[in-house]
Amino acid sequence: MKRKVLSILLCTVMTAALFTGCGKGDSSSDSAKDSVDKGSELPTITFTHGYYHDESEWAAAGEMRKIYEEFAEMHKGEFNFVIKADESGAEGIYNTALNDLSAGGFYDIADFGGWDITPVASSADAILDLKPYLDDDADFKAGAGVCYDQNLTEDGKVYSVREQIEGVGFWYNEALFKEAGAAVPGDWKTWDDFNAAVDKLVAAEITPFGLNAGWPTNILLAAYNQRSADSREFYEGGRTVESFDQASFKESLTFIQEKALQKIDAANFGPGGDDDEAYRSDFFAGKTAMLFNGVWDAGGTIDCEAGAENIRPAVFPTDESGKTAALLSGGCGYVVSSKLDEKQTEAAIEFIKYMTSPEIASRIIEKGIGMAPGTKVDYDALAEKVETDDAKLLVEACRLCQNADYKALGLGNTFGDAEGEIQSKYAGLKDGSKTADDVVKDLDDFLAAAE
Amino acid sequence: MNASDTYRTKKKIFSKKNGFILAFLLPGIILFCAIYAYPLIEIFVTSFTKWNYKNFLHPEFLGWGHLFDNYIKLFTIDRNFQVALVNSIKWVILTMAVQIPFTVLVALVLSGKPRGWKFTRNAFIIPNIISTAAIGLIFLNIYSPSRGIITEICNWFSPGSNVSVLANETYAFWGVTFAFILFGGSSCLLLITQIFSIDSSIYEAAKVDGASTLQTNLKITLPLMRPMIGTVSVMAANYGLLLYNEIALITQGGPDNATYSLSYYIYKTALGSTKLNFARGNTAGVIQFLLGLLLVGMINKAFRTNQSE
Repeated sequence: MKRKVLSILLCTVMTAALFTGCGKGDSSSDSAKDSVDKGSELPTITFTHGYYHDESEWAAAGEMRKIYEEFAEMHKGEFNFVIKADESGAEGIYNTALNDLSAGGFYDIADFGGWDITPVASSADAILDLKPYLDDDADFKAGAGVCYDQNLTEDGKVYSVREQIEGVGFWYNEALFKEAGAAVPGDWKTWDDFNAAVDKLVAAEITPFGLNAGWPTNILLAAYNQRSADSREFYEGGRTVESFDQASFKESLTFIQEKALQKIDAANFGPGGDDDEAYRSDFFAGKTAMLFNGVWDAGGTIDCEAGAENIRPAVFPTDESGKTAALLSGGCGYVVSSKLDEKQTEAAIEFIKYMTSPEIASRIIEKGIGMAPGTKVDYDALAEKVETDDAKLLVEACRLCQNADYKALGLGNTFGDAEGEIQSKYAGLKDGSKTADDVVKDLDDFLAAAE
Repeated sequence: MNASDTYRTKKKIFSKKNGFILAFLLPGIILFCAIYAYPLIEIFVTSFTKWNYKNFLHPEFLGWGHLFDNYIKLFTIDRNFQVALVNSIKWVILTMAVQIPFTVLVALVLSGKPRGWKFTRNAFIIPNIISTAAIGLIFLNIYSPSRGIITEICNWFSPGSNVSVLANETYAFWGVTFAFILFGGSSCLLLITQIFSIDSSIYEAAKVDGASTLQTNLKITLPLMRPMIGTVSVMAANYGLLLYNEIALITQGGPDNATYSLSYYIYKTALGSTKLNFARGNTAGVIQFLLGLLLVGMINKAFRTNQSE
């Protein structure tokens, strides 16, 4: 009898545990939200972002959270602006959004930090087209800057804008250039001058740059594609290119192979891809002369071994004498749900307007967070205003990018998934086991398979 | 009590017993259906659909005329899948050819309880209790072209040799392989337990008959270990077939996608791409599942794991 009772109890517990496990989770946050809703008649929207880091770990994160909180405080009489930091970062926000979309949901508003959710979310009709709001307000449109054009879809919609963009040129160590007797980037007229400088650095036994099978090499490839009208035209084709078998692109690959990858030894090429950061640490340690990275790396100069006074920003040359190029990528930032009611939508738009306002743009640059997309940012005034050396460098780098003759999207924003395929070929180009023709053939095979 | 009463009583006891068995099995059955069967069926079904970011919420059936389009594309034009399939098969073969014999050998040696056998056993199992992600990071550092020990050793023998294991397609494959192939600690533990459970009188009889250690191992221990070797072979072969963490951390499938595995391909195709090609990823998943079944069947048959000595 005892055994029987015990057996029945055990069965009940197991079944109950099963159903409990299958129950809806996160009830605490739901009830918390309900209490906010019930406790007030004001509309509520929840904003999710990936700036969860401790200030000591990443000061920019703390500053961004402060900006969000100030906005919530400013509007506390109009709506409840609930701020949630997702500790899985932008990638986690993207993955959560995918899950939510499959269940028919979406964040009220979230910052996707470059992870492009818009193709899938717009196909699911889950997100708001921001274009009418941008077109209605000239200041808002100016604040969104390059994001407006870059995020304009084929069917004429803008699903996302950002408060900061990836402004990319490069950094160089002036002392090492002088030591090698090479012309500094400010004096370059064309890519030939870049090649000459690299040769002089190599001759002086100074490693010109560190690269890896990812980000820095992608920057150089994207930048070299801005050299002429032909190469720019091909590059602008981006995700719509039907074949990589184009003379200008093959020439770009040959440049990457012969003038970049084969100019450095194996120790300066991280084959593990984007996770390999030696190219950065070596530059700031004074071991390499150039660093292909964005304006935000002004922060890397603080107390660096290379000497902050030696680090200078630059933008890329072209083959049109004296003209320059930079990479400015907006990418996916704020995305708003299309399921919000009118008042919630107004609140979300108000927030994005605030985040892209000149006031916040200046603050983002002053605090060394990054580059703002706005066309009305006065860099001259900012240069006077900022005090710290790294902030001065950031302003200078942003100004160079903003004033470049040609501005293009980064490789990933341009070619989408093909970026990964392109970067997977760098190791083969470096060791000579692949030629530009081989790479182009492989890339065309990839395009065919991806159809 | 007549025959009919006895029959009725027996039937009652039988149905009560069945009820208990069913009650115990029910949670397991529900869990199996929810966690394994449902996704498995969905993976099979969606492998015959078009399902990507464009129709994220509504997979579209390919139609009877194009039923196997996803499978055909994988085997004809998708180079990354073909590389992944070949690599995964290679890793299965390597685990069977290297890891299992090596682990059996270690188990045989340790079962003789030589001096320091407990320390060796524990040391051998350490890599299996460390997360594969941590192992991946350790090997990433070992292979680093600027600070890795492999580079240091090569430079010691041949100064300026500039070795970069992960930058070369062939070396990178072996780099990933060595990050897991010798780590058979868990299998070794199972094998040692099996050896210790063998009746000592058999060994005593063999000793009386003058059998050497080699003969004892070959004629007694190994045959009696057969079912357990089969079991650990299934585990090891599946590990080779499902390899993911090491690749994601060490090579990210590179260089030139030469170290793709089926699991890494599925991730990249379904979630690691802006196109979110779930249908293609699930098709590869079906192939991986069928390969796994085939593998388990073959190993079970070869080792007759369902028959004890």
